[in-house]
Amino acid sequence: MTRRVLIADDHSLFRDGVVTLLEAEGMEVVGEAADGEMAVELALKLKPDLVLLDIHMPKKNGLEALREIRAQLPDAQIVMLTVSDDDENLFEAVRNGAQGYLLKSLNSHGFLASLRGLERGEAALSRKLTTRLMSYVASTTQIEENKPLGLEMLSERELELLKLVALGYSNKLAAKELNVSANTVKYHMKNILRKLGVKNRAEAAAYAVTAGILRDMES
Amino acid sequence: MQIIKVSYFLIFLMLRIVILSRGSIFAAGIARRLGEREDVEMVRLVDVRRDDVLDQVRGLRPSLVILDATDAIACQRLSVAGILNAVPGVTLIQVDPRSDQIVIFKSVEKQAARVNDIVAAFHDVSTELCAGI
Repeated sequence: MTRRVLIADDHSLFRDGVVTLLEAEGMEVVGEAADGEMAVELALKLKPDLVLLDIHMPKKNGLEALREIRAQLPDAQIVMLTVSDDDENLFEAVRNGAQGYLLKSLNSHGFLASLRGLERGEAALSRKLTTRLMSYVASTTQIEENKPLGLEMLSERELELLKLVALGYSNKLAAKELNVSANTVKYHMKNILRKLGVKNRAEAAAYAVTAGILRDMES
Repeated sequence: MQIIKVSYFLIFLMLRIVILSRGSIFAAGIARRLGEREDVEMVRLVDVRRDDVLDQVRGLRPSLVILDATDAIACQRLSVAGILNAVPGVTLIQVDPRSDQIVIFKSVEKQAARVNDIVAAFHDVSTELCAGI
């Protein structure tokens, strides 16, 4: 049976390219939305089998649209198709019921293979994102048990941030240094505090120095 | 004679297009869309990771080269000047799906014996570009 697809992306040129690719793959693109509001409206009206949602869209972002569509259409498959490889967006999308999270930088073969995998009940995720998601699940599971986890449980990115904190960087400066948003830094910082079992960034910095985290940098 | 002229005109308009990319979703999509057009004779995706990428492009004798601006590897490895030099006379269009913008580059070779020829060439090219809009 032909899969009916709705695509939501505010960039029409990109949308046009994806539509062509999907149609060549035998799918029927039943609707195109240029913003989040339109995505929700069309999804409820057209009831597609698959919804491809960009995250950064005017009026309503893709994550909000995801929540609304998921609430109304529990059987629809929803995949985020975005430039954002921000962990926070990935985790939020999965928490809100997205069956996939694909980056626009993916090659066309990988993209189409991921969409075909959805039909077999597989999640549409790259290996890299799957690994990050599993680390996140593992860390949050242990956090719920209220156990301080130590430096070894910090992700590579969290360790980088902790080093910067120990060097006295503010969130804003750390965000600039790591080339991520201030919100992402806040998110990582929250995880660091939980994993280390400390109350604030000063305690985290002290923990880092005591644990010798800056030693490699000094030598 | 009239028929010959019309045929010549159609052949002249047929586009040979090369898309420089790693095979991104966007590039593959526009390649398919362009391939559906009647005025397009050929569309080829050339992988920018190849060492001989410019030789490949030259060998395909394109009239239009499209560069995917979102493809970081393509933009790192290939300069606009490099592409225009590799295929003289070609039109290069850099397409950026993040902003729905295209930037058009075209190299035109002219003789310039005096400094004023440079300004005259600028006016000629500007007039040609404006006429094309």
